[in-house]
Amino acid sequence: MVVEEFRSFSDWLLNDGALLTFVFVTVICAVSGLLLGFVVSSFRHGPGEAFYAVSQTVFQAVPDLFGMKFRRIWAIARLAIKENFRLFVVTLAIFVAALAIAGWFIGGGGKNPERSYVAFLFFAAQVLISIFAVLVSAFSLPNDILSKTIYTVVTKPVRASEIVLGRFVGFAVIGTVLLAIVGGLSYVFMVRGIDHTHELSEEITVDKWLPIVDGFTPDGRRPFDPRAAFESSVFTTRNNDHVHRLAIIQLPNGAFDVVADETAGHTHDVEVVESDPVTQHPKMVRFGPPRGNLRARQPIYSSPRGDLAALTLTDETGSPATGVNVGEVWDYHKYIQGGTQSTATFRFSGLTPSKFSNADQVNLDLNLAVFRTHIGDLRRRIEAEIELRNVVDVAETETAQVKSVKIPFETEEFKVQTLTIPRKLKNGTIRAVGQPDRTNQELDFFEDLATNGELDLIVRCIDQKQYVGVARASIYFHAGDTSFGWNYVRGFLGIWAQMLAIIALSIALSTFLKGPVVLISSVGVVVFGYSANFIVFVANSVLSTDKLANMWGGGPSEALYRLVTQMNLQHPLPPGLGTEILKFVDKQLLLPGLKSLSFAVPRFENFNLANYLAYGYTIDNQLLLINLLTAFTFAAGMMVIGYFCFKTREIAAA
Amino acid sequence: MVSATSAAPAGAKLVQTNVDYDPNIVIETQNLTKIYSDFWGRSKVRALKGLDLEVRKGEVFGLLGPNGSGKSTTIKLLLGLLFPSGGRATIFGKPTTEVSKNERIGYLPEESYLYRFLTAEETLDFYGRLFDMPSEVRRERAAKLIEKVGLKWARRRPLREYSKGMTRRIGLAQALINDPDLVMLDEPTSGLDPLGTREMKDLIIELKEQGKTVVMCSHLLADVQDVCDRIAILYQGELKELGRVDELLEVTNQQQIRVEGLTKDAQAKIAEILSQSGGKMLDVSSPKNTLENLFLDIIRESQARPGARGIIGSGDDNGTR
Amino acid sequence: MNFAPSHYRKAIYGILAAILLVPISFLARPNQISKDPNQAGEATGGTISQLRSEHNLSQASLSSIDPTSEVMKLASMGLHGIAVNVLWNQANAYQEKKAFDKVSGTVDTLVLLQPNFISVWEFQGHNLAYNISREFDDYQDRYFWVKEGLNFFTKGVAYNRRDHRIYDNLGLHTGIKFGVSDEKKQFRQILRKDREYVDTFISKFINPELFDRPEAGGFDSWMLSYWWYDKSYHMRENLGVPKRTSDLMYWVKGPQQLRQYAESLSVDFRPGEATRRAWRTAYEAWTDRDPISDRQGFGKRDITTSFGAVIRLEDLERQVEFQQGIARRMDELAPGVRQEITKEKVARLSPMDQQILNMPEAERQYKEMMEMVRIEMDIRVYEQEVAARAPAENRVKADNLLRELADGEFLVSQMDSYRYTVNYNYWRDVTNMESTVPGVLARQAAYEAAELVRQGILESYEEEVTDENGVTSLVKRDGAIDALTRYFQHTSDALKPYPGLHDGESTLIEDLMQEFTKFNAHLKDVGREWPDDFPMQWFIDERVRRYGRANIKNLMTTQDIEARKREAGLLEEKSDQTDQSDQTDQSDQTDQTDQR
Repeated sequence: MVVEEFRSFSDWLLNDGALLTFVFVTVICAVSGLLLGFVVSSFRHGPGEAFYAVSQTVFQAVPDLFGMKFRRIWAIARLAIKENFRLFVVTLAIFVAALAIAGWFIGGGGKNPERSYVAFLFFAAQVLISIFAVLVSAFSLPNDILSKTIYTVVTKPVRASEIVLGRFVGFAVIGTVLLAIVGGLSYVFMVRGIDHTHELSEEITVDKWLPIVDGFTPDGRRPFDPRAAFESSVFTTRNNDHVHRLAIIQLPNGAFDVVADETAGHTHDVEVVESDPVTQHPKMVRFGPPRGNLRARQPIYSSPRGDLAALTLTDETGSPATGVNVGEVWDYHKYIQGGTQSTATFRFSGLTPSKFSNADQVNLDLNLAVFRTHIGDLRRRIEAEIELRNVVDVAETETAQVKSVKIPFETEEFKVQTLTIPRKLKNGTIRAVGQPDRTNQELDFFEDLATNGELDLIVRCIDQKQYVGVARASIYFHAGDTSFGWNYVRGFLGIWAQMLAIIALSIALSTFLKGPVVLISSVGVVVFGYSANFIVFVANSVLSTDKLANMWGGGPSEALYRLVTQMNLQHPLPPGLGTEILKFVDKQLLLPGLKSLSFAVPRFENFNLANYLAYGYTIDNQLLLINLLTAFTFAAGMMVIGYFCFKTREIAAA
Repeated sequence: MVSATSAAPAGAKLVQTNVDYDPNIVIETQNLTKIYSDFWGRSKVRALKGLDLEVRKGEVFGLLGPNGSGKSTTIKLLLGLLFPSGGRATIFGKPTTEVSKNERIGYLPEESYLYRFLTAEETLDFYGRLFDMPSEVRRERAAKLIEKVGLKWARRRPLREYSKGMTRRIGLAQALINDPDLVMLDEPTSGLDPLGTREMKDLIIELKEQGKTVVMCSHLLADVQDVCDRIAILYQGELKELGRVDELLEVTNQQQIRVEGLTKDAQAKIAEILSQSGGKMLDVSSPKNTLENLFLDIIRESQARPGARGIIGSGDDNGTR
Repeated sequence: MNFAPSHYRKAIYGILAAILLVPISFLARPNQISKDPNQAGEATGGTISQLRSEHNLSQASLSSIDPTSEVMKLASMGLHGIAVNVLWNQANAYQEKKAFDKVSGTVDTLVLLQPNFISVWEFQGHNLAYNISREFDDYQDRYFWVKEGLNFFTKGVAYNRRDHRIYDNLGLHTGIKFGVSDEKKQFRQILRKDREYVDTFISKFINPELFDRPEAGGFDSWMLSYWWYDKSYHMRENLGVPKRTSDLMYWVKGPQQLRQYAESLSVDFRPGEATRRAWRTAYEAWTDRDPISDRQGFGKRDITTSFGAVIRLEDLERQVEFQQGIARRMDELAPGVRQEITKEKVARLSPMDQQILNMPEAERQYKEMMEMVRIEMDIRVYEQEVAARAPAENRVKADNLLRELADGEFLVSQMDSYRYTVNYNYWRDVTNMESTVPGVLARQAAYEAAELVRQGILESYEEEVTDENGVTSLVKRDGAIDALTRYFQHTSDALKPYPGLHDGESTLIEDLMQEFTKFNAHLKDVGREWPDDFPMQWFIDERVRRYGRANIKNLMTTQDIEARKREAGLLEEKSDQTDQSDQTDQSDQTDQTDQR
């Protein structure tokens, strides 16, 4: 699973400057709002009167705020719900239809089907809910005003804030109900789509059990389970576009156990129905439901400690380095060279026995990349080793440096590999200052190595001249799984937050615009929200001083010129005034403007957390918190804008 | 001058807040002007020019004038639906934009702008909630009002199936849901059949008897004449006439005597006396019953005895019934 | 009914529209899609759909109508191009980020939008089978992704029923990826037993028995690629599908796979009669008739050259004889003229050249042979010169002969260059040589030698063997060195009849050179001298004579052996007689090689 950035809520809020931006944007909006109000009213009633009107409006806001009554808000909310019940049903019908059609496209596929399911379902839910939110809130207030039914409401002791907030609550409720149903339906659709079982295509006669000889089956394959003694050449039937192999495992206590391999992201429990009397090899087996494909791992990633980064690497001489680039365009993985001093050190903290439910073993998940410079023995995978060390403060010298034994393992690229580390590790070494090293000590993982939860994990590649690629997210301690269903709900929380933001947005717009205009402008803002990351990327790369990073084709207006004149990207613009203007507009106006605007709108792209679900990881609370807070503050801001616009609007004016 | 009122305690009956407010003056406008301007602020229509008006507590005040004379604008300005371009207007001593004043106001708009997908009960329940009334009060008042406006038989049907008269009645019901002290009626009787108009007028009189203040604007002079105490006549945004109905209608230099059982020669003697005492007799005729009374009598009669009714008299003998 | 003028106009327009409907229906009546898939495309519709099926443009004839693909095209609402463009970028982005399952997902959607663009299938199929499979470290994952690429191509078949390039790609990728890549040993080993893959994905197209070869231990990748090409040939020859690639490189593929099959048999398994038969089949398929598919052999294929001439590679020898026939007819027309011209040209040669010319061919060393090439050019007699001097009355016939000669020469040059491109002669001789008994025996010996070397048994040894009725007897077992000697003996017998293979640079010669060096190394390991009676001594001498000692430093030539014998004092007394006999031995050998 590719995790490119690690955002913790606190540092997002404080040092990433989210709070600062929020304050900054609020101040700007407030000031510009007042200024605008002042200009417009002074335009109409002259400056003196205007000042009085503006201040009166602002002071009026206070009683409006405290005068709000929940019963009134709920009354308007109920009204809004009743009004849009039909649209609710239509949207639901569309979603069900989409699910039916989707059945065509999301074939099981040999690979992990749940990934394509989650990706599609989240995309469909996100788009559908956004459209519903815009549609439902865009036409509500304008139609109310157009049909003058608002007169009977405004002439009641109903504050402008109650009208705006009432609608928000109404649409939020109807949206939440819709989202809950959509979420439930999609979950059932996915689980049913993935659920399947297999039978044996034919009976496994004794000769069909291939013996595993020095680690390989007779037809040259490596058995899918290293403990396997026999592997069947008979496959299961092809259900959901994949098949499973079977293997007999010799358990330490001598008993036989039959297991199915893991393809398309899951395996099945195997129950022996009938076995060969002589050799005890199973003849006919029965398969349970799929296991292991809908999961939500709880990873404990490495984290920075003081000024030391979470992941640091050393080069072949052991001095700190940034890792070798093996010529990949995407430099997510940093590579260390095999057979040298080159190491990757992961710094962990917060490893307490309770997190691992006091088990007597600790699971470490690895997702390493591998790069072979020479073919070597193709049949053998690249070997690497990990070593655990306790954290010793360089200055303070009493605590001894405790090192575990080096645990070698074969790397499995593009798969999540699990290494089980026993709590009691043998032949570790303890090096105290001024004392001879005490070797083959028995170490306790939590007491000796991960003292007060802090631990250093060192990775080395064993094979000469081969490379192992690491990234901060590629090694983590697997503290257990949360339920996939609950994780699925957390995924939908992201979409729920986005829905609230969009509802607030279009209500605010609907206080001073006509229905269709609101529709177009809120869709516009939502699209801008989706592409905010891209806009910032373009802005940064075009405005950046370092020539290399410059984007081909310049900013928007230059690109438009190139489009019209069908000039390719590399071709320099003809010198002259025109180019100067284009460059000026791009560099000074458009890009900085768009970039700063992008801070005012929540980045909807980050609200889709489907990736975590698809790859089976629990959605990080920090991420959820960030999304929810962004959406709520945006919604609150929109409510305030909506209130002021509605308040200053002459209801009866044409 | 009315200073900016501090935060009025929510929900409580309006307590008189500023000192120099005389409680009997319910509505007061000073030099109230309204200029409709286009988007760029260029003034286009001078809907109301400097209206000074006072409405006392407990009276039925009529705003008369041809269409486009600014009477609806005045009502909307008073209700805060429009913002005054000049001058000031206060209700119960509060500026019109003050929301808490609406606690004591009921408003029946021209066409009753009600939500067509709600039933009568739901409508009254909704508006009841807007007055922050607890549910049992709401239910009880709604039932009473529905009974009062005679819509009990249609209370569960959505408003889109209502006829014009029925919607007007439910509109009235919603205007009275909060037992308002001031009722603003915008063209209350327009579009109603004579029976409906009669009932509306009776209701207005009833409200007056309950001590409520009623402000109505209309261009049906007959209805205004029946119910209004004082009237104001607007023409092209300007107040042309203001005063008590009966005073205004009095033809000062003429008197009208109605007498019964008079013989012909007696009539001649009276005429003679009149001319001696300098009066000039203009006309001698027997008074006509109003068409409205005739119409209502027939309707009431047929309500009491359904079935065909013989056509009585072809209009040659018009004795009063 | 009084019609307002506008009503009149509307009525007229209505009528006009109705009239127009008639021709439209004739033109654009849609095709009735027949239920039976292979009759799809029968022209039943209006003129347009008939024209369309005539030029094989109708969707039904191009490919089977796939509902999802049609829906996708509609769903893109005309923004077809943009949707495709976005999908391509997305696929590249996912690949860069190594999200390979997303790549194959995006690509599957992509081909739904562009089913009839062959280059899309070729690019993405190759991408899956090569670029993505290479990214994986474990050979079993690579094997999985190669199969992904191949399955991707099989999906393309249904969409492109009138384009043989899909099958060509299947043949190409199956052959190379399973047969020639780094992991070929592991891939072929797994494929032999991969019944599940064959039953699910291949059996729809090719009957598994065809490439399930007992002698190759199960499903063989080369035979599989052969049959993929055969399906392509079936399309071209039986279904009359238009040609989309150049003839030469197209018709060579089938026989090439057979040769590779034979080669792999000889390397992977102990060569035997099956291997010989495989080489034999390869030889026949290469030259005149493919015994397996009973199609024309590669040599007999009509190949249109880039100059438009239609040639058959097998006809070169016949064409050269025909050319020589012309030379003879020219001499009849102008008796004695050729010899005169030759004499004149020789006279013009410098004394040095004349001396080299007269030197017997056997004595010419390397640099003289280089000179000879120039001299032969100088003294060559051109038919034009002979015709110029023909007697007047034969002048016209001579000129006609010249034109015939020119055409003939053009064909010869074409065939020569096309043969050279595909190394036709070399492969003809190799497959022929390998299919002879000595050829197979040589391979067997080589296989055993390799096995013995692996076990480290270099010297021969006696072994006690008790046969079934308990009699123990000493049996002599060959060591690696003796096995190699046997190998060289058989190779010498096999190679002799094919002079074409003796000189020049070829894999055969390279392998031989390696075998000599290894043999030499083994001898040194056990402290033995280079044998006097080395079976292929003639070959080494020939190489030294032709190419000097450049790349055969440590090998002994006959002269070296003689010198070693002299040192050892064995040969003083009969040193003079043996020189001539050696001389004659060598000379007759060299004569053989000169015959072309």
